[in-house]
Amino acid sequence: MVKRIDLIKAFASMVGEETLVITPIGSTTAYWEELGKGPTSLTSVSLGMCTATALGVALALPHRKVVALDSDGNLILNLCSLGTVANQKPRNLLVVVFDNGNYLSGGPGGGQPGMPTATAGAMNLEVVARGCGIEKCSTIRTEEEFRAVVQKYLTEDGPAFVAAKIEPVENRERKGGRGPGDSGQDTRENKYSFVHHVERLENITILKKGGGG
Amino acid sequence: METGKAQQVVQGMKEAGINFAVGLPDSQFHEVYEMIAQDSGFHYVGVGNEGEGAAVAMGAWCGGKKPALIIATSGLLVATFSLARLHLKEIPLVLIVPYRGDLGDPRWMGIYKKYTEPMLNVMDIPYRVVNRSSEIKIAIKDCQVCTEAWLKPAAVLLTGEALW
Repeated sequence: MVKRIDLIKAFASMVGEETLVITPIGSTTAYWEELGKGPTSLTSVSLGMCTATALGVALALPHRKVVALDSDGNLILNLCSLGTVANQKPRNLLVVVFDNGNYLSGGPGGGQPGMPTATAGAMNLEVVARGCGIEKCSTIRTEEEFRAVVQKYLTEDGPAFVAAKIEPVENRERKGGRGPGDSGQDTRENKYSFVHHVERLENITILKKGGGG
Repeated sequence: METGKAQQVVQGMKEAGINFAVGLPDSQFHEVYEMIAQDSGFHYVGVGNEGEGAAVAMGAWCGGKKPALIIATSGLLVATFSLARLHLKEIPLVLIVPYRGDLGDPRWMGIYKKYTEPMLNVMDIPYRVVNRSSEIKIAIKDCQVCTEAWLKPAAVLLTGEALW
C-alpha cells in the first residue's frame, strides 16, 4: 500500500507556488512543510475545516487552482462540505483526501494505527463524493494512479475529488509540539505568509496596513 | 422579519464593504438570506453546518474577499470550534446573528440567552446587541471596521425592535 509521504512528494513535484494548497492539522501538514511548501500554503487547518476553507479560497479566486490535501477523519467531521462543493461548482478546486482509515493522531504511537474511521468499515469516500454531486471522482491505491489522476484533474475543470488509500501508519511518529529542527510555522505566522503570498500572486491587498498604536 | 429591516441588514453589509456571505438560515432571518442570495453584490454560500461556514468564510478572506457569516443563535454555538480556530489564526470575520432567546422572543429559547453572550465573552469575540432597526447599519459597519483592525471575529446580535 502506498505511503502518504510518497504521494505528498509526488504532488509537490506536480504543482508550483501558483497553485494554492490547503492542508489539515497532522502528518500532511508536517510532510508538506518539510518539503518547504508551508509558507506559500495555508497549513494546519483544523478539524473538519480543510476542504471548506479550500472552497472559500477557490470561490474568492476563481481563476486560480486551489487544492485541499484533506484526510479521512478530518473530512468526515464536516462531510457536508462535499455537498457544498458540489453545489458551488468551483471549476478551480481539487480535493485530495489521504485516507488511512484511522485516527492516527489519536493513536497509540509505536507504529500502531489509531482507532478506525468510518472508511475502515463500510464508508466509501468516492461514492460519498459522487453522491454529494461531485462528478469527477476517483479512488487511487498506487503512486502511479495518483500521479495520473491528479495530473488529469489539475489540468481539467473541477470540482474534482480523489480518495487516496494509504498505509494506516506513518514512517515515524510526530507527537507533541514544535521542537528544534521542526520546519513548521506558528499558525499565525503561516496565516501571514500565505496571505502575503496571495497578495503577491494576485497583486491585491488583503491585510490592512498600519493603523497600530 | 419585516422587509424594511431585512433591507437595513443587507444595505449595512454593502456599506461595510462585505461582498461574500456564508449562511445557514434562521427562520426569523429568512428575508435576509433571500435578498443576499439574489443580490449580485454578494457571493452567497449556503452551508450544511455553521462550523463549515466559518471555514468557508476564512478561506474567502484569505483570497481577498470581505466575508460575513450569517447564522442562527443556535448555529453560533455550533460554530464555536471553528471560530476558535479563526481566533487562533487571527482571521477577521463579521458574524450577523438574529438573537433568539433574548428577552422578547415569544418562543421557548431561553437556553440561548443563557449561553450566547457568556460564550462570546469567553471566546473574546467582541459583539454589539442591537435592538433598534435604526442602528442596524452602523453596527454592521462598526463590526467590519474592528474585525479587520483587530484580526478577530466580531458579532452583531439583532434583537428587540431590530428583529421582531
